[in-house]
Amino acid sequence: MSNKTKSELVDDIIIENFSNMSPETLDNELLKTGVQLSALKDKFLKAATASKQSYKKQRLINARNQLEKEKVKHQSINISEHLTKLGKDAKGVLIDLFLKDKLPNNLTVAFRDGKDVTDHDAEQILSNLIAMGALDDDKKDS
Amino acid sequence: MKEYDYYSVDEIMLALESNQDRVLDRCIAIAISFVNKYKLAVQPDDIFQEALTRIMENDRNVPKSVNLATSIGQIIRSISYDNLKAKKEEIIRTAEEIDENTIDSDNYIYASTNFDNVLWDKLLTFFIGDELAIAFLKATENGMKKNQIIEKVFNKDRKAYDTTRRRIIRSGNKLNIEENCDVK
Repeated sequence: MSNKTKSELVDDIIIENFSNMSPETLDNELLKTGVQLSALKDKFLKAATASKQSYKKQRLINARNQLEKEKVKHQSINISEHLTKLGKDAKGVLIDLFLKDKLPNNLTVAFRDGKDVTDHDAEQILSNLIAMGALDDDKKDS
Repeated sequence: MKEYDYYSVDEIMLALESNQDRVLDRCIAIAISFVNKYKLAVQPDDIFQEALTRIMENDRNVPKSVNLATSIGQIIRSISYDNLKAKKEEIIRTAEEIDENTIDSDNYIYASTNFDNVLWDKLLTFFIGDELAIAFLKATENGMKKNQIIEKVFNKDRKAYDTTRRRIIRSGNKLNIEENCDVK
């Protein structure tokens, strides 16, 4: 009689066996298969390289897609409209956020000397913070 | 809760390219075994490539606490099963007449190979006198599922089940499993 549980147990034994056998026994077992080991090793290494290249390519594609998404999100933010609704300028909003400790830590030091930040810079920072998800576009803190 | 440390893709590639601890050779041996055992139409290196693709696409995490060849071997096994299943489904699909009584879903897919039977006999002989191991093997042979075995053979003691299963798996290297086994 045969079944899945039995088959899995046998397969676990095969895997365990090959994973832990001595190098000498492994050589003998590979010899017994009758394959040309060096040629097969080349094929396996080529397969590994192909997988790695495909993985890297996919990572680049994902990164590019993510960038595109961010770009679209960034473009969709109408910071002027947002500020008009709030009745404040960008600096004012950032100062409020700073006082409420709602700005990312690495920004607070740079922002501490607000006099050096132009209105345009402040709008850009605000826009970036929304695009990065650090601030909520819908429930803007003021 | 135990935190697992996983291999990065680069670490796995480095181990394979350098054949560290003969990991590449071990993967080759495992892939050949499954292709031969299940008489698959694919090449061992195709299955190996698919295994690496699954790892890299993060379908499978590879913990550092487990032997790397064992981890890759488990994925190779899983892909071999998928291929076997597809092969048998194709046979069923194209068969003109099928006796439905002979097809028992999983058990049809995992129909016994000569390799299984030879190894099974060796296991039964090896564990003569070891009541727990024999009870485990007999229960498995009779088609009991894992949870049933834990309940009925091990009196709900999961740890005892795991320990016994582990002992049986580790016995493989004492059985000279390739000898007389039709894996070609």
